[in-house]
Amino acid sequence: MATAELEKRNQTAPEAQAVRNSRDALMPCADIAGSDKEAVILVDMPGVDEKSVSVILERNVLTITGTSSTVAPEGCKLVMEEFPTGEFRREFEISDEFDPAGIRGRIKNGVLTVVLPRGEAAMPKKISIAAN
Amino acid sequence: MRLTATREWPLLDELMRFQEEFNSLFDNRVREYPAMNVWMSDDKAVVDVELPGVQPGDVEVTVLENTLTVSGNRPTDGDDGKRTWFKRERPLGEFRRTLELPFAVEADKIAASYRNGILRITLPRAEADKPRTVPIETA
Repeated sequence: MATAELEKRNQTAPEAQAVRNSRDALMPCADIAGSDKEAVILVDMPGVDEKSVSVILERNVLTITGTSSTVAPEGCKLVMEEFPTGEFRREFEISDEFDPAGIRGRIKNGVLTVVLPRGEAAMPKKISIAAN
Repeated sequence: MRLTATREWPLLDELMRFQEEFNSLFDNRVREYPAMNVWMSDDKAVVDVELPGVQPGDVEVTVLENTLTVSGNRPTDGDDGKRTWFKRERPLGEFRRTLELPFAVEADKIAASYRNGILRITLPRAEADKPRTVPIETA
């Protein structure tokens, strides 16, 4: 999986966009960043607002879904379609080093941010050294 | 850290994405950024621009006769240098796109609104450019 991940990162150019997945939902583009304290998942979900987005953690799988609320303008015909709209869906496997109770999400301007804090046990610890 | 994309059919989805990206390398149809959807009627054009995470103030929309230009910058959010990126798929950075419409636009009546990451620009057709029915007199 590590190799596949690396290849995928190298493949993703600025023209990356959501693609249809095997269940005919749109697989949105995502960025994942990590630090000592937490991991952050940023997901592009244009047209999705706080009412139609959902983030569900079941066992170790975080499922993100959302439906674009963009409506076609009245009396118009679609003549050029470069980005598909509809239901977004993507799943992420979360390792148990993250604290499930501390996971929080926020959506703004069509970008969903999910913050996953590392559990106490996974935090780096400073070991005090006693003299003598 | 183990934080990878997965699904019921994880490999299939990842492969489909990979295939899509792989194909696009050999595709003459270059994917432009940002993506646009265009609707048309007799008296107007409506352009939706896919710009999630952009501040409306960072986007410039200009129209000259029948040419629409959308430009701006999509900042790299949350990049404070302290993070390690494991996956970067989202398109970021500066953009500029030009779209030629099949009619002249009434520049004073152009409307643009930004909602949930989609910029919608409504461009009414110029009155002088609209087709006119010529009355035919009977002899």
